[in-house]
Amino acid sequence: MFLKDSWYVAAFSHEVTRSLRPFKLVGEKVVLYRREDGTPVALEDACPHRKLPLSMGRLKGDQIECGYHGLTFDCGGVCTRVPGAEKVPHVAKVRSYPVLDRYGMVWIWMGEKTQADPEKVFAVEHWDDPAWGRTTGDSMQVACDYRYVTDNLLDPSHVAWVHQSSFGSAACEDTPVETEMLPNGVLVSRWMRDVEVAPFYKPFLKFSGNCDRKQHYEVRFPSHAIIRAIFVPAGTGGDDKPLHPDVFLMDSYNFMTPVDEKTTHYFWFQMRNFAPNGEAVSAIFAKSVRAAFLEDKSVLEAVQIGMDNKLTPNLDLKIDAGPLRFRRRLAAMIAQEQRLPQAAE
Amino acid sequence: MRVTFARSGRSADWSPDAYSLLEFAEAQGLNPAFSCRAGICSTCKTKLVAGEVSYFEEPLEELQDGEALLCCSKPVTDVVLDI
Repeated sequence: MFLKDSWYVAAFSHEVTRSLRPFKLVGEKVVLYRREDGTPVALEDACPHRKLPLSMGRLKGDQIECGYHGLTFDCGGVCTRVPGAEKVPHVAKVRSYPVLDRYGMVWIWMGEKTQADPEKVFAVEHWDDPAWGRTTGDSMQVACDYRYVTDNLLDPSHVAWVHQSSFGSAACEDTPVETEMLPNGVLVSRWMRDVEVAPFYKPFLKFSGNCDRKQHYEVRFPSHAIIRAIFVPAGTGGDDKPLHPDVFLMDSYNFMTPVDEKTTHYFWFQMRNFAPNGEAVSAIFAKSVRAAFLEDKSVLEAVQIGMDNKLTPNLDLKIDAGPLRFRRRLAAMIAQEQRLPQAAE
Repeated sequence: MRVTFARSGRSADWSPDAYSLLEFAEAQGLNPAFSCRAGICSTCKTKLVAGEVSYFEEPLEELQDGEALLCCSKPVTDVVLDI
């Protein structure tokens, strides 16, 4: 069950080149490459003749030549040559997908082309802000349904047990969370007052002693998350208060692209309100975040196996309100999208 | 407003400071099954024999007529619950 009408991350921009490269995205096989002018191209990765992946063929200028019988397709998926045939059949074509480069990543629109508005790409705040630094980004495959990852990113409480050496601290165990339905997603958040600073953040804070910490876990449909971490000196935090001058802000962007029903390609990068050119800081962030996300990967892959093979019922708890309400709304959006083509007939 | 627990043969006047029908039932010494206490797991779904309730938290699963989720509702009339 996937929502097609959405921009998904296909790859980091540097991974899409003048070579043909196969991907599986949102259940479909896609070949990605760049035109001579650098613009990315995405086509269905199957020649309409015998369905050989076009990624096994050759790039000829901006066109793809199939590696079986030389059928050639332009960037729009239109067949321009069928060697040995008197005329190119109208039915010889492959699907083309809207693609664009943004934030160092190639985004692909998997649904109805006319709906592919570049304005709908997830907005990254402070991207061009000279006061903010950012990590270059990283990714990994996780062997689970993408919705277990969205569950995880709507669940601030898991850090207390999954990330004890990085994002978690004792206060993360029992402070209740608030769940808010947004027009385009779900937000689960909480302020933890006068608490110890969790290990990952400690070296970067401009203040010492305890903190007020906010966890802002927001996932937008279908599977894109912004996880904001706010740390201010104890006693100065609150949604109704201006941010303390020594505030530490980290916005973690998490983009999940379903590969198939039980595989997710997980992309991320982090923005921070300090050290705009701090390569050493970026390197530490990148390393620590990857280590923490590997902890998530190991849990989520085992959850997928556990849920697939359960012999006794599983429980839903209060902390699941955000994740389950997110899933419910997403399922309704997918059902509506799948009904639309029939309604138009 | 009177809350009647039909199966256990008890009834009591609703106390407006009770958080939910589930808490109220527990305060009366009943022990209904629950899990999330937030309207999402449906574990506390109970037959509403008579009366009407209102929800302060929208149940995740749609309820049929004659059903109530105790953890996220309060009575608006006299109610009879099948617990």
